Amino acid sequence: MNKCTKYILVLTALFGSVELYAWNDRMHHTIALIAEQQLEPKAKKRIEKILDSTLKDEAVWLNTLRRKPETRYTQPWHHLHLDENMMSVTQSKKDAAVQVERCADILRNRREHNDSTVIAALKIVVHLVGDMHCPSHVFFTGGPNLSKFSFGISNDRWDNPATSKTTWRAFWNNRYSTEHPGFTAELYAYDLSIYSRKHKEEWAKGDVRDWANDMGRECRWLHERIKPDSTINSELKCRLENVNDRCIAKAGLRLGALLNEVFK
Amino acid sequence: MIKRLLPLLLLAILLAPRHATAWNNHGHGTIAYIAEQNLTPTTREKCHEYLNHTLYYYASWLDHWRFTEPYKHTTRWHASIYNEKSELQNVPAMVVMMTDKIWNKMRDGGYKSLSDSLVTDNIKYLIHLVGDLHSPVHIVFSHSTAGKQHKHNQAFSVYWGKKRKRMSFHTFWDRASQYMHPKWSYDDYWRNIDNYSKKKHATVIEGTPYTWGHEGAVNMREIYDLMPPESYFDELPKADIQRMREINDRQLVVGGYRLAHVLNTIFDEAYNTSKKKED
Repeated sequence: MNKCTKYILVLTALFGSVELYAWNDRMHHTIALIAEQQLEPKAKKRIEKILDSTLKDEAVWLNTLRRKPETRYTQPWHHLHLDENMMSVTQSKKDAAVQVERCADILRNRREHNDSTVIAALKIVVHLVGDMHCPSHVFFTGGPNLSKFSFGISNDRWDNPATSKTTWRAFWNNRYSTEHPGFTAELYAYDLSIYSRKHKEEWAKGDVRDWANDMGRECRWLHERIKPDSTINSELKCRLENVNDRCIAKAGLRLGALLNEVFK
Repeated sequence: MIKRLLPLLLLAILLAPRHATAWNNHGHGTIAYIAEQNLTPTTREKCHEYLNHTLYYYASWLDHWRFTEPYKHTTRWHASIYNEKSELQNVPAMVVMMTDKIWNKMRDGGYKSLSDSLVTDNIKYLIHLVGDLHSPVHIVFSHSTAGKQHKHNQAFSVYWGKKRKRMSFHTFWDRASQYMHPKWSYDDYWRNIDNYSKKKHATVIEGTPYTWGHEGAVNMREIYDLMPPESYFDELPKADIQRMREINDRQLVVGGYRLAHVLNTIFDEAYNTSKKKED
């Protein structure tokens, strides 16, 4: 490996990983589009009045803040922290669940706040309901250290068996998205609307704490099957796509339900 | 019998795609997307009911699942082998036979006697296999003629792109949907190439997987003439590049039409009645 390649690898590790720190943009856009499909006319109208743009346009706005030194304090907002019982332990942590609740309150009482606060609150809700449904953002007290979590994926090929290494973050943020390179967010949202049709009402039920708890259950199931430094086989890798799709669909449906409730 | 089949089975093992996965995700997705647009409402509803997803969601699934234990038996389903007379070689479980077998099992109400999970799997197989059937390099030849390298499309290289990326001829054609129109999405392809007249459409959907495979065996030799070993795509004569685009576009759109036709004949009785009337 020559010097130049080494520098590129170090730079990629330092800065490239920033992009790998959430659902990628397409996933966030998809979640926003699923939410838009759920909006009741009243909520739709009120959102249009607040934003000059669509939910999809604003879905990754919060990521831009995280990268600026003056707003880096928003970084922890993107995570969900749960205790051993999968209950949110967030009051002290200012995580995604707390921020979604706080911003939803601002939107409910929007007349008491200035326009820019209301706009920011809406953009934060759109992003963080997505983030709290991304398995790489769900942390457990006493759980694995997700920032150092790597594991292998065996390709199980009879002609060329090999294991590729990945990290928990990279896997959940990009793996399945790249398996459908031709999907635009619109196509993905349409596809997931078919997928979630049967479960629509069930998944959108409850409040932010219930959703955090549900994501805890999803992620506990995942951590039971994937341990740090272990290797998963192709079959599990393929089956996990279902979990990925379910999390995205839940995020979109719940975002829609929350917006309908705050703007009713 | 076994003695007669043995050389062909060995040939199948040697020639059938291994690393390559027919069209890549994009090519398979394009065919399935075009098919989705050509389903009748009844068929679309049925397919969505069984799949819980669109056709294009499952376009490449068999390439991912073929290396898992439950689907290991499908590993050799992705190509068909033809001799110098464009005759299909009698190797069991190749794409032509499997597509035909599944289609026949499902049509004329046959799907109603199968379990839901089997119907779902069969739809997913058809989505992928009809795509493979139209991949120019999944028509595998058992021979090379006139100095051409038909037989070894994974063994010789060609170059593509500004950085002269080297790859096997097979890989080049797997990625053709992205190389021929680098910026086109599924939707762009659909808008640009799903433009056959009613008459032309009716002609291309006629036949069976056997006749569609034979058509490929007759026509796909041309791609070896257009792009010889060690050639660089960007430096090929413009007319040849244009011809390659036409072949790529034709395979994708016809693959899409035929996949829609296969599914429509399975799930929509009104479609079958109207086809009979047309005949």
